[in-house]
Amino acid sequence: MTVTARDKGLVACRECARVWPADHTHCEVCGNALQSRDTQSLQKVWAWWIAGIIAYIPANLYPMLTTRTLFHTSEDTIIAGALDLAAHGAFGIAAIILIASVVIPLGKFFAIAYLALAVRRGARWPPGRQYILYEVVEYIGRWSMIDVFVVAILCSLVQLNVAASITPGIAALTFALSVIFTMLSAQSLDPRLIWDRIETQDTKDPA
Amino acid sequence: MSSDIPDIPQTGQDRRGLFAGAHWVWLVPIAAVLTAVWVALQAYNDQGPLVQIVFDDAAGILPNETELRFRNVAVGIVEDVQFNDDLSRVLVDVRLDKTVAPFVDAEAAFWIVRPQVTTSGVSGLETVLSGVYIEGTWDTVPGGLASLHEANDRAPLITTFKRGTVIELRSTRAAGLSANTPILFKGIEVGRLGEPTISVNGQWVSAPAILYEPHDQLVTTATRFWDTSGFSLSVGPSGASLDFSSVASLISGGITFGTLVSGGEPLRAGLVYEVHPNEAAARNSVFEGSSGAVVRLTLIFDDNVSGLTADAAVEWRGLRIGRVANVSGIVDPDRFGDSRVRLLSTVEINTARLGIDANLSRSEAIDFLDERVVEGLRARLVNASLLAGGLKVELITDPDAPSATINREGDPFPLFPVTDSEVSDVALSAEGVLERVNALPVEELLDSAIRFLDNAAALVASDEIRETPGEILGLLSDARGVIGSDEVQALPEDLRVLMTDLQAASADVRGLLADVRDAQAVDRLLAAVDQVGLAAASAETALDDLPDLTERIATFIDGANALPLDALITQATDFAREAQILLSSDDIRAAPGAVVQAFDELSGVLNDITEANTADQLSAALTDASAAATAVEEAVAGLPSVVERLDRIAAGAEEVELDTLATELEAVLATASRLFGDASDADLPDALAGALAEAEAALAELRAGGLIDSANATMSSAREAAAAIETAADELPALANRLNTTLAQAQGTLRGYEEGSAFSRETLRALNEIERAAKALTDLARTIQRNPNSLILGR
Repeated sequence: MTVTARDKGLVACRECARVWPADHTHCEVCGNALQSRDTQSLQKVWAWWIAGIIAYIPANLYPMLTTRTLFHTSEDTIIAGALDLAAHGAFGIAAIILIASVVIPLGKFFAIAYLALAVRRGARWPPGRQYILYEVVEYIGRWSMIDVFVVAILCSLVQLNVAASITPGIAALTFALSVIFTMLSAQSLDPRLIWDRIETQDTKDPA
Repeated sequence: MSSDIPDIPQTGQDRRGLFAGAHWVWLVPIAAVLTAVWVALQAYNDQGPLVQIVFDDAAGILPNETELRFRNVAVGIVEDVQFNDDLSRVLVDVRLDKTVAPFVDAEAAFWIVRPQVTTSGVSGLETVLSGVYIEGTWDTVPGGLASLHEANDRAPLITTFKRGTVIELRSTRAAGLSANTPILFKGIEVGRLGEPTISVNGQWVSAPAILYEPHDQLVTTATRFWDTSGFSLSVGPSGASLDFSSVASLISGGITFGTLVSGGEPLRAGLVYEVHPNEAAARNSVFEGSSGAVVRLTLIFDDNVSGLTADAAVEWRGLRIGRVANVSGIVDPDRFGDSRVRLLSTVEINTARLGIDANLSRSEAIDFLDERVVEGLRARLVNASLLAGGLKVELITDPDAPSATINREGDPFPLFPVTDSEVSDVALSAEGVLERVNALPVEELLDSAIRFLDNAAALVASDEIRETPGEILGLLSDARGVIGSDEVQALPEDLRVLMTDLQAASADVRGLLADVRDAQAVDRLLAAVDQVGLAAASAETALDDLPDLTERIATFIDGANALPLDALITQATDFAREAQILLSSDDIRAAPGAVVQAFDELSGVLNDITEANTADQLSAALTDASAAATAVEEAVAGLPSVVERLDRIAAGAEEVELDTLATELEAVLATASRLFGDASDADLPDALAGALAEAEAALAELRAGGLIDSANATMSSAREAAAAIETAADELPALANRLNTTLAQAQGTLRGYEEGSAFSRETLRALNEIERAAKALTDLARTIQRNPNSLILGR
């Protein structure tokens, strides 16, 4: 028998974790708005999710880096650059790039979408495992910016004027936007909704 | 428990609308979608058209990287590189900028700019590192987009920033025509050549050329182009001249032009000009005129002579009417019957230069030539230049040539008959001469000459030779003394006197004969015979056994009777008559003194002679004989030895050649008679008088004995001279021996030389003459030694 705060007529502040009676609209400690359940959570999740997807498409189609040496200019997209590295034998680096730039963002998209769908319609995964997934997505989201960091560092370091220069491509911007949007999407998901499914399961079980 | 759950106020539920409950976050994906749509629309809107350029070779072209540039500004980028269906071409899709698209019409030209290092410069250097790019050019008039273009291999002559007139230059040799060759005018580049191509028939190399504006106005139809590449060195009567236009053209070649005559029409695009090898040829071409059809003929020369090359002249009466197009060999045993290599050359004859109508067709021109061939026109090879040694083809008219016609079925062109070549290999002859000169043993000759001269010098330096001139001088002075001596000088005079004396002697003989007649020798002889007859009769009577003696005596008498005394007497009579006639002439009488004097002298001489007169002696002998006969007669009895002696006497008498005597007398008389006959001429008396005077003087001198003295003196002088000559002659053998030795040496030396050479022969001849001279000298010396008086006698 699981007891939720909502069952007890309580609501917890998500900022300072102070529990208030359910009729409190604002936390008296930190002034945060109190809401037992964020009813618009899924809306925001999906909105950010879609924006992230939109941003992610050009991030893969357009070049991430524009490398200009003396007379030669090369523009590489993320995947092309990783494959190029793999072709040159740098499988480790290629794997890192692919994981950081392709696998993780895509995984995040799938994870968020799965969680959002699970909140709405239920899922086979128990809510505990869903919450672990949510935690991983939350935690790992920021590391997706590693590509953007690399591009930023390279561009600021390699500015040899005529001889060679590296400038960020349009993909760098959209990729950063995509990461931001997915982070916001993950953040928008109210994890308490996950537990609501447990309640319904519990209520179902006796029935 | 759920009833305990406080109602959670549902904010916003009261303002439900279309977007009721929608969170503002939805604006973000909407904005993203809008942005994407806007970007896509923008990109699509900005995208220019795609054109396809067809290349043979797309070296260095990369999709999305290789640019299309116009005036060195990127106006497009290659989007795709692919093959056409049969892989024969490369199709390059180029995305054009929207702004230039209308200008890329059908006239546009594209080519790949690659790094190029040529003699005229370096271009496209920047593409070494950045990769190639496609350069395009089009005019400034928008003509509508053409989506398919054929690329050029290299930059076209006319580009948007180099405008001009395109003409065609052609040449028979590719030397001057190469791509990018500048066309110079007074040293300034006014044009440029394009890529040369070879004409279909292989006769020409032609190349498009552009003359930039405004320099194209310098060219008219009367302009001639020539090649200025390299340099030309010409040596002429005005000295040597070295000519080269510029160092650049020295390396890369160059073409210049000049309008040598006025009256040409203005230049228009597409005109064809011929590039002459040099300025002189270009100038000549103005006068030659190049209009007229070209008739190609095949010549097959039996002589396989080297030296005939393509472009050699074909001349007729010294005028160049064509050229040799090519030269090759032909071996055709079926046609010629042997497998010799024959010279097959194709000549091109310009009918305009033959003086026939330039509008004649080719077959009509051949008809014209065929008529000339029937008249004897033939082709032959002659030396083009004695020094250069090249050959040219000359058309000559040989009326004696066997009849022939142009074989129109000849392969590859109508076969023109040929005649014997007139090729003299000067070089070979000169080489032969030089070889023979080279083969001459000059050094040995010089050595021998030096040895000969050494020997000659030693000989000349010898004391004997040095003395020889002195001795010869002495000899000559002696001889001069001998000849100049009064005695010798007097010799002719003496001889004349002697002759006169002889004449006188003959007169004496004449007188002697008269004396003989006077003495009546015959009578006496007869008397003696009578006496002998008497003696014989006596002896006959005394000695019957002496018939032989009688016979002999009879024979003797018969011989005596047979003597031509009658003729003798007749001659004498004639002589007397002649003498009488002579003496009766007035001239003779006119010089009585001389005659008298001469006769006095003569009579004196004759007296002298008479004193020892043969007639007397004869008569005495006859008397003796008669006495002997008497003695015989007396001693006849019993003295057989007497008979023998008589016999011997008779035999001796028989041996007395009375025949001869009589004959000679007759001859003398005849001579005398002739003499007197001749003397009847008018000039005789003077001569006779002179002769008489001479005879007188001679006789006087004879008397005085001066001649003898003179002769004696002469002889003594001659003896002295002979002695001197003998002394000199003693030295001569030594000299001759030396000369002989020298000559033997010289001869031995010279024998080693080649007998065929003129020098050797001359030398041998000279030496032989010297030898002969030496021999003659030896002979002379020997003769003089043996016969010193020959110096005087001259034999």
